[in-house]
Amino acid sequence: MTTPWVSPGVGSKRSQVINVPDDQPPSSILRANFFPKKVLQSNGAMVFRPAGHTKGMSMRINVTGANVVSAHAQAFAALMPGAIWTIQSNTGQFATEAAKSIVPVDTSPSRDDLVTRDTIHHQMDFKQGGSNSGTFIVRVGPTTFYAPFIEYGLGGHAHIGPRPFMTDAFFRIAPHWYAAFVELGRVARGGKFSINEPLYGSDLNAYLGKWRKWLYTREKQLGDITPLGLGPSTSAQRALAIGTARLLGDIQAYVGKTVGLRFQRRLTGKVTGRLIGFGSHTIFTNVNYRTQIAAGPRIYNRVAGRYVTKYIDQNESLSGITGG
Amino acid sequence: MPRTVVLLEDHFKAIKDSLDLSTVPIGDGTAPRGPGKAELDPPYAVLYLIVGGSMDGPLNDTQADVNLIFQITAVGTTRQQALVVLDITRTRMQKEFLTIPGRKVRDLRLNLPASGMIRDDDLPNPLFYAYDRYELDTTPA
Repeated sequence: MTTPWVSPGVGSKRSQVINVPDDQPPSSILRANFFPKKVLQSNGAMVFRPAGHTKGMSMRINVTGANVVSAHAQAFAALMPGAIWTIQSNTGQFATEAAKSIVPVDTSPSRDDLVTRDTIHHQMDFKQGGSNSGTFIVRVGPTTFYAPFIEYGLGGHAHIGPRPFMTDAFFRIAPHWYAAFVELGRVARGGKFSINEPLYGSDLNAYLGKWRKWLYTREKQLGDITPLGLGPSTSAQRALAIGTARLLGDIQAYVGKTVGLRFQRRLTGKVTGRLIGFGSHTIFTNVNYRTQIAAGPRIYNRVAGRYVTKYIDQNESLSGITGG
Repeated sequence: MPRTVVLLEDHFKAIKDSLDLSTVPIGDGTAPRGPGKAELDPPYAVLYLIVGGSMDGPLNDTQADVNLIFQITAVGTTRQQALVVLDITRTRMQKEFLTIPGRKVRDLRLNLPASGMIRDDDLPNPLFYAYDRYELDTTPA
């Protein structure tokens, strides 16, 4: 499926309509992974990880179709230091308390070493999954090696059946956790959001992604100079198109490594000047979004912002999308 | 008007009957036993009814529709054996295979794609356990 993308007009040439393949539809997926793990020690004994580590019971929200920490996801990235961590932290605490309220406890004096409420902990994590996805993780679980046997039983041996507490806690908390992300996405999108849509301004991401694809498309079509009305020196233009698209990807990767940094930048106002060999344009923008990184975004803004805001001005309004 | 009484044994038996048609022994809440009442050696699977689930229905009968949770524990002497046993049980866990008197089966589904595996070293010979948990939704026929 493709979406028409309006290329900027050049000089006396009218703008061209180019069909650009849509990006892969983004989605937010709630995944659960309960995987009690044993590790083989050097002495041959099979034990669980040392106390202090939560066991392999984790809940994950996987966000795809969006670089959740890139400068492209302006509103969402700006919300990260505050809202996301609050959601993660609260989810961990609530899930821990839910598990503690369910877990079997033997209060007899001789069995005070059974799985107790005190052994259940939680952790937060985030993993960058390539240039276009990220996974928010909340791990909740006990730190005792026999906890999985309480959760799942002993397979018929010793007549100890399953007494689940982690799965119950998960299914109690996960829907609220997921709903919190949905609500966050709704706020980031200025009030319009639903499942399987980008967790940020979809207009912003849509044409940014298309812009990158357009650049790659231009690289291919610069063999035919007619669409852009360019002169015979197309090799330099092709290199520029490729380089710009790659630069965006590099910036995404660079930004992706800086998890946790605050993003704050403001791009507003009037930008005038000669663009990358494609003629000069005067652009007005009413887009406000914030990101704050030292080098990458300035380059990004200089190169990308003009096209972005030009497209905004011509085709769409982002007045409802602001940095958090 | 009395509330619907959901018979758990009928639900359990329906799943057990379906699993008994598989090629692995199925234990009824415990390790399966042979003709001589001695516990069988792995591989086998054990069916449990798990605490929890939910119920719903019209306002005058909120116990009419139930969601019950069952666990199948596959036991094997190797990792592969346990997983193969679990896979075999999965082939029998389809709602079309269940017949519950007075009830209509709405859905039978896994509640997690995989619940992982455990190696149990607390036995003379280590065993591997693999698990599946299912949700069974039924409503009055």
